[in-house]
Amino acid sequence: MARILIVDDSGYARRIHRGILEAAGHTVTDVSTGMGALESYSLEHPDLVLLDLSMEDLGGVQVLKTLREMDAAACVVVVSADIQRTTEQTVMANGARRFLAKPVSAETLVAAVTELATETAP
Amino acid sequence: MNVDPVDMDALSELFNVGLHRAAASLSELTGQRIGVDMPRLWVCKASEIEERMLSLLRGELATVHQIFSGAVAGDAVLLIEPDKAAALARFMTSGEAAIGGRLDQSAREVLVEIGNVVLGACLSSFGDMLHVPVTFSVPRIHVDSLAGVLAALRTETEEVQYAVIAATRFGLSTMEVDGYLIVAVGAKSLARIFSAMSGKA
Amino acid sequence: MSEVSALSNMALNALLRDVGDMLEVGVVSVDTHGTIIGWNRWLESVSGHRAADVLGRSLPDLFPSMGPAAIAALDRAVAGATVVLSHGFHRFFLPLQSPIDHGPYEFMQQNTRLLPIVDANGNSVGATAIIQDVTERVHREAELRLAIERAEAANRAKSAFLASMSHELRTPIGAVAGYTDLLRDGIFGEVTPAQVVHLERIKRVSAHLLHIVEEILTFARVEAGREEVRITETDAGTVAIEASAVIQPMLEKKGLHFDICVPETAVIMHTDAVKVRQIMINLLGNAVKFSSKGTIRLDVRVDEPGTQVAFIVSDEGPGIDEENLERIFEPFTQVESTLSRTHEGTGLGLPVSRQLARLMGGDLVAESVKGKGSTFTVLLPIVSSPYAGGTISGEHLLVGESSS
Repeated sequence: MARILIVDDSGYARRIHRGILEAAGHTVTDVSTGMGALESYSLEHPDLVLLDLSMEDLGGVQVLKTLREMDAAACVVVVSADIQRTTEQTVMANGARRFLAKPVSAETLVAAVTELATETAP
Repeated sequence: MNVDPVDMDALSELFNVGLHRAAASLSELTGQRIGVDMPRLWVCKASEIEERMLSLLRGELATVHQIFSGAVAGDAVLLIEPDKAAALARFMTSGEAAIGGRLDQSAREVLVEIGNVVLGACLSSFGDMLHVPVTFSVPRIHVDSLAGVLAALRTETEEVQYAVIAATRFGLSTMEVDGYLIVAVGAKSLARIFSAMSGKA
Repeated sequence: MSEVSALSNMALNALLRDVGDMLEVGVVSVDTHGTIIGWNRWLESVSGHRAADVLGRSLPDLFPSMGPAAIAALDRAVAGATVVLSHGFHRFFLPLQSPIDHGPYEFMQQNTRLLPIVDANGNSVGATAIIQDVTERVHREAELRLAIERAEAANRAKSAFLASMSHELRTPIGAVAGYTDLLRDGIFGEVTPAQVVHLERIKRVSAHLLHIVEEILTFARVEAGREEVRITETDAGTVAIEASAVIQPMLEKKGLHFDICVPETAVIMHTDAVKVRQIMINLLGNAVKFSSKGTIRLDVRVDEPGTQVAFIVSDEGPGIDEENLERIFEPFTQVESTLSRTHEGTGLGLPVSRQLARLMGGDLVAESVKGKGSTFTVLLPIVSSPYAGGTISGEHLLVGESSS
């Protein structure tokens, strides 16, 4: 169904989310750094990006901003352990389509991806 | 101790989520933003904790200790330097606790609450992953040396005890406070944790 | 027996209520629906609600002004969590009347622990809240904090006062001296020689006034713990010679002799040169003031181990009675001399000199033989260690190359 790019510095999180999304029939690529995310996005143009905020090289918010600058139609879902209100506000103000708190349940993740896929479908 | 890097990564993510949850709760309590650093982790035998931590922590420590039981059972301790702990309590209560920079009764009570939130959030991360409830004792605060803290960890079982040590830093608007968590569990509990983590892989 | 981490049955709850009564702590238990199933005697007496009247009701129902955080905490406990509500963050769990009539508290201030009640299978069947009254202690702590804040504010006010007083006093005196100079130099028009004489007198008196003001301010600053010690490298002999130069005119006027003896090689001290000079000028000035004849000596010596320098000022004046040898160091005291002339001064010169010597880690001592003369000795460590001696230590220390 959708082509999804997972960006997270935790191998554990990448594994879990890949498992959930592949089981729901999506195609998944994953990277562990902010720079890797930008490269992968420009090469592959995935339908949706699942973005963690805590990367060490580039902060998650920086990656979000850059992705949106590169492609105004970029569909980014932020999945983060940092669930404070100010973080959510910043993320949404910078163009994320959803903000999900870690740990994300399979149901929540699949539902969010499904909604967004139908929203952006041509 | 040799732990598969895949498992260390999973543990790291668990503590990361737990600490962020704790930070969010504390943020609600105080109305201020609280940041947490990605935790550094070590796993070792409980008997090796002191040696490992001697380079990090000296002198007296303010500690909050909780015992937990359930499918995973053991002790959880949060350790902070006493004057940092007093400063934290003072800052978070806008000067009402820790008057004169001392760990007075009010400051200790505030720290017990903070410790309860942090330890509870980290331990429930484990509980969530294992899909089992974890029950906690009443948290207690002590100011003690590292050796004294370690002696208080329960030792009635004949199981070999292991420890997961997490080092992080809490960032508030005007200060940073280093915090260390020690989660000490028996061999059986540790095995359960690792198998639950790799079961998900 | 391993610690019971949560209350495991109702009998234990009942025991907890009795213990709570003994320790004067509130114990209330609710079931999974939040219905009150236990209410101890302490709570009966502080709330005015009897157990029979509250059983079967819920806490928010009983206390409509119960806060959302408290209600949420109770829900979490019923769900199995151990919750701590510290006074510092929450003030109280249940809105009960304040037990003290002094202080600003409408409600009792509380520390609370909430624990789940767990059955034999580990399932939650309710929760217990243990409530401790800390109103009195919190009130005391608030008063203590207020007292500390007031003391700090007073300290800051004192510093600000001293700083502005220094400026407020020096400025007009400086203006007097300055304008007098200009007048004397004929800038505002020709002056007659007679007028010059009087202008010189004004100049001298205003310099004296400035000196007195400086002395008073120094005394006040040291008393307030606000005097700074500025450490520089200084040769002991040089300071002594500089101080001597200042009193030279007075000496010559009175026809007194002066001997000075300084070490051959330089003695480099790490100390506040300005203060050392100030002390020397004071001692030499006193020696001149109180002598009508004879020789005034200034000796600078280093002790054997090379750790201490002694500046010794001796005169052949009237001397001081043994009983007065300590009195002369008391502020605002002037001991009458046999010359029965009250001398100009504030009575602060010696007290300030001793304060300053002690501030730098040394001391000032006096010896005298009535009728023969007096000897004042300033002892200073070669390397100033302001906390090493004396009762007064400066609150601010600047270590650097700056001079006054």
